[in-house]
Amino acid sequence: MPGYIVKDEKTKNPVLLDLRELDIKYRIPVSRIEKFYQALDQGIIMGTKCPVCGARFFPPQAWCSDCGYSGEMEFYPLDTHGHLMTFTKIFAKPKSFSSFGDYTVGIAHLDKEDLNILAWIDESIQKPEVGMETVIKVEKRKEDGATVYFIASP
Amino acid sequence: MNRVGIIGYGISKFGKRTDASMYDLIWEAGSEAIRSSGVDKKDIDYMVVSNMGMWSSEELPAVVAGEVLGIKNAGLHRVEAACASGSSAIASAYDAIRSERSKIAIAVGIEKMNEVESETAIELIGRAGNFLWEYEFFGLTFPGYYALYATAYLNRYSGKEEDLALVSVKNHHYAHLNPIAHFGNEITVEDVMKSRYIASPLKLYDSSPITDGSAAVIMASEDIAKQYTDTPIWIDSIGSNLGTANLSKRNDFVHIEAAREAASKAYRMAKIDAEKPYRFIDGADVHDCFSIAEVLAYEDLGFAERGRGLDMLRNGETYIGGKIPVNVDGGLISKGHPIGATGVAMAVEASKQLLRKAEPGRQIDVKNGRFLTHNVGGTGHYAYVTVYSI
Ligand SMILES: [Zn+2]
Repeated sequence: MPGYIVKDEKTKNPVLLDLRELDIKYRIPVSRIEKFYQALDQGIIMGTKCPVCGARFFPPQAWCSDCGYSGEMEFYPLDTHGHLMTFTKIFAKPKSFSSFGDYTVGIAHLDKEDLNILAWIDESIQKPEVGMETVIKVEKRKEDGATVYFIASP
Repeated sequence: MNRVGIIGYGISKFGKRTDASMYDLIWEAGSEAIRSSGVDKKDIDYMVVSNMGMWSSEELPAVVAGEVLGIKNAGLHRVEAACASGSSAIASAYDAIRSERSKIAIAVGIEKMNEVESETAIELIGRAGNFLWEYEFFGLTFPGYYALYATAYLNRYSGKEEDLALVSVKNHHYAHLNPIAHFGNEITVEDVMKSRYIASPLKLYDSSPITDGSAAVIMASEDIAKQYTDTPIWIDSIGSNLGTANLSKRNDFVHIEAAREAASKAYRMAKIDAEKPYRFIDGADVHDCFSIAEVLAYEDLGFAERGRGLDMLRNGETYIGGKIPVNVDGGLISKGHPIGATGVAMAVEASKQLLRKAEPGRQIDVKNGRFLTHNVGGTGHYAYVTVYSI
């Protein structure tokens, strides 16, 4: 048998082990929401507001999906006070997160903005509960050094 | 009216099929569909293939399927609606026939998920939704998305993880009577409760497995269908709707709006009373990729009132003989969920049930002659509800 034909560990069926390997890393343009990342670096979470109809967006976007306006959207700091809508702790992790410990993801409702944010729940919340009071905090994540926003205790 | 009917179907064995390539799986389902319909493959003029891909090496599975089945003179395309891709393939073939662009069409659903190891499959399916805002930094997984629904639902309606486990117990029961199912073992609530957490509160036995499989149907316009069979399975209605890419843009996590909209459209078109749909249909296949999803389906389809989905399980109302049998093929949890094949597999199950050809112990009582399928893509990103009749 050629070397690339191997036996499946469980079933012993012969499988062809692909010699080609694909490593994909995307380059995602963010020029129209660059202000969001500049503010994030200062610890501020920005949403966008439509100057025509007043619609608010998070994630931030550079056009208005509500009224169709496509001029300059207004970037503004979100009032992050709100409450936890739901959460889950991820045990079976994807390959690119396999070096992380188990992490808890939640969705918080920002009460004044009437917007939701999905993020990890940080260590200030040991026992998450639906309905508990929350804020959003920007932190440098230990595991990968990335500047990320978290759902946190006020 | 130019009705559209299914005149033949085929389905492969579902499972971790290390014995079969994508080509083999397509052949298993597709050749059976063509043979059972009695059509000459030269007369198939339209072909649609549903597949999500990424985890399988072939980039153009539709052309692979055409070649495998020896189809030469048909229009061809591939469709993607995540886990509802199969139902979108049925919809596409239906539209082609209704518009008279096609007389005889084949819809093939195929997914070969186990060409990559499970960590990579978890990665690829986790990216489905909104990659930039919900995956890149937060690594949400497919079970994770549904777990967000489960946490909110159990909290709102005071449900327990043990209640959700009843979905898996029922569906494993029926899977063990279905020879093509991924799993063949019966399980108990205790087994589910003892299984490890995947994304809390969902555990391994609350989850559909990573499955390889294929399903295919031959569809034809009414005049043509009647030349081949006295009992075509008619498609009475198809309702579909989209949902937001970002889960965070949903208003609540106790129902799936896209599925509710799709159901309402399908009921209207099939003239089914949306208040009591279970009086008009004999059974249903619903999208139980995770246990919580079956509970949401009961409510989004109007089988149960809001917040009463768990009661249906506690009272055994979705077993054969109950108010409405659901997922008596084993559902996605136990029959398996080869993403792009699932919706077509549901059409196969609808056909088998309405023709009274289901295996002993899992044949529903056909009284109204109608069967419903509910197929949700992603986490309520796409939804299809289809009503079949005989
Ligand atoms: Zn606007």
